[in-house]
Amino acid sequence: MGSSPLDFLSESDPRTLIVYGAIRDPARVLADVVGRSAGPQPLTGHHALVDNDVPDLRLSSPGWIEISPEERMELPSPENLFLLCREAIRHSASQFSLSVRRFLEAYLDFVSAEVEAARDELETAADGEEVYACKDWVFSAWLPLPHARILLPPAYAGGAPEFAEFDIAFRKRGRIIVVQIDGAGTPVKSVRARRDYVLAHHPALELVTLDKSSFVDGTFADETVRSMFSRFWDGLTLPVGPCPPDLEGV
Amino acid sequence: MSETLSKNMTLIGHNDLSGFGGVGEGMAMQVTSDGRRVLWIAHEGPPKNFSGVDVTDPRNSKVICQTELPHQNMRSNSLEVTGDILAVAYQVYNLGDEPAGFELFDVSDPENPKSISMYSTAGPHSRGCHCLWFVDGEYVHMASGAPDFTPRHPRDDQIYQIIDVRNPSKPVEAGRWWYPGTREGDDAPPPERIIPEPMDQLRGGDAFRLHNANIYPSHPDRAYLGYIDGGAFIMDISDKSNPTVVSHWSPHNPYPGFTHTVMPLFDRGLIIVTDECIKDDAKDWPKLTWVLDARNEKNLVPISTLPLPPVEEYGKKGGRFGSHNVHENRPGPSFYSEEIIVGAFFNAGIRVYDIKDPYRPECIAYFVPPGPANSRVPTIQMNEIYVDENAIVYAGDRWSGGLYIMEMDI
Repeated sequence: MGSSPLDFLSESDPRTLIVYGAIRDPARVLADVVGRSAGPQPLTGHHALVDNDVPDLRLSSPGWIEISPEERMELPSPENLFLLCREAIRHSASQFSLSVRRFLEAYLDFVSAEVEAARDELETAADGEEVYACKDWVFSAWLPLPHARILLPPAYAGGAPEFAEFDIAFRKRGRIIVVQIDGAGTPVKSVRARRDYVLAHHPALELVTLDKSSFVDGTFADETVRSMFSRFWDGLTLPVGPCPPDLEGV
Repeated sequence: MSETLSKNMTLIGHNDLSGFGGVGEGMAMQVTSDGRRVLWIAHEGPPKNFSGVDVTDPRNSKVICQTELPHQNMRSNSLEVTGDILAVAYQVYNLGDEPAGFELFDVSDPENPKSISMYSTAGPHSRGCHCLWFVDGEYVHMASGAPDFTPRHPRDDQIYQIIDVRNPSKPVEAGRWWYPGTREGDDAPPPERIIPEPMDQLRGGDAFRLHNANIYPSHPDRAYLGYIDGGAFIMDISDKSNPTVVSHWSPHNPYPGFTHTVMPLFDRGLIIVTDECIKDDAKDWPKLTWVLDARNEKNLVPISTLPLPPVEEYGKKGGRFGSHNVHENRPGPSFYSEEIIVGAFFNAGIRVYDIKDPYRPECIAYFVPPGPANSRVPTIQMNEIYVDENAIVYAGDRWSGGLYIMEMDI
């Protein structure tokens, strides 16, 4: 690890590394993150590095998906672009984690339906603006990070890096929401200890436990969960599409 | 072998079962009305029927009940407990002998089990019940002969039978299924034998009969059958009177047979299949535990096997070496994991696997104690495994070692 360890307990530079996706060895991702000469990227297809400057991670956040200009030209509508995002998110979940995959499907259906249900409100807010379509707001939904592994601080691990595992994580309004799907089994001692540690010590972590049956038919049965992920556009002035072009140096 | 070999596992208790330490293929945990935890244990053979061990303090277990078989030409190799009802399998050594089938006991007072009923499957071609599954309090699923079942081959005698025990004093058959072609009079041709053996021995391999049937209350319309040389079956039992095949997978041949357990991991779309080792000194090597991709339950695809230590090292240590059974994620006071598989591997002891990446299972813990005194072979022969909801591992030696209680440090 570099001279500035990624430590969510650091007083001077608290940062939380979340390795996500169907990754066998999160320590390798960590090595890539800290070994990058230009400094760690805040978001890639394998990790998110969150600090106080990154209060939200959304589908529109740069880094988690790569879309070439050519691909973008071939995607005429927000629906097509959303499908591409959907496929990328599905791809990041293990094919052998059926509940996680069902959750992601339900979540993506839910955010899409939310925009549709709020069409009048969002169109009124646009006030005749024709730069974007109402459906572009779907890209403001919070980005799900499946198979999230949160790097534990040196205070816990000491030697080799260790991670606390959760089914899905979101970065939302300065908090990290971790979703754990109930009924998937008895966690072994080490897994439980790492989870307990991060839940007890992380200053901005919130655990949501969901029963598998609560998102069976492409939606969430629990009103608390629905409200947690709804109105993701609040506080934003304009929607932004995924993988915005890097305008630095232009 | 005189030393314990272990990694990430610690022995915290041992019980020689009052000198009757031959453990069969049945272990099940009861939590009594007064809060005690009783582990019920089936024995490999006579003279004992079953034992009840108080494991409330696993470091200080106590035999609180040990019963006798009615005679010496039989065994009760398998048992299950649900609530306060214990189901015990009876298998006889000679065709036609009794009692054959299963007996239900009221164990609400675990020191004094009381018989509720006997379901007999005795008959001229029946050895009774080898293995049973009873986790919902409603149905016993079993591998047994039947009074009216005549197998074409004498070792194809134990078929899948579903017995309704909702009225435990009057069990009644709800349905049955057998491998097509194994019954006298079947239209289907008899199955081709995998490794033919003499027909005068009833026990052993070269058999197309049921071993384990696993049925989970979360998916009551599916039965997962280990059909020995016939391989693994997924059955639709939504109509229990007419079980039908959903899919079938068998590695035999070229692999040498004896599918024992077929355990679904529903949330992962995986199935674990064990092929039991049945011969000493690795004569039937390799006996593997398979990981199947079952996301499409009609097209089962093997993707890996659980790695075992080298046959060069273990094959000649004595006794059996290879797969047997796994902790079966049963409901109740039971460990449940779809990422951690705990199995009994005879002289390779108890082994714990991480299958998070099912393409690359990894052995993360094991416990191989020395061969126990008075055993027929010089090595441990881990024969049965149960893991409770606190991840305490209970395992039994086949011949004499009794009960080993371990903690996993994983």
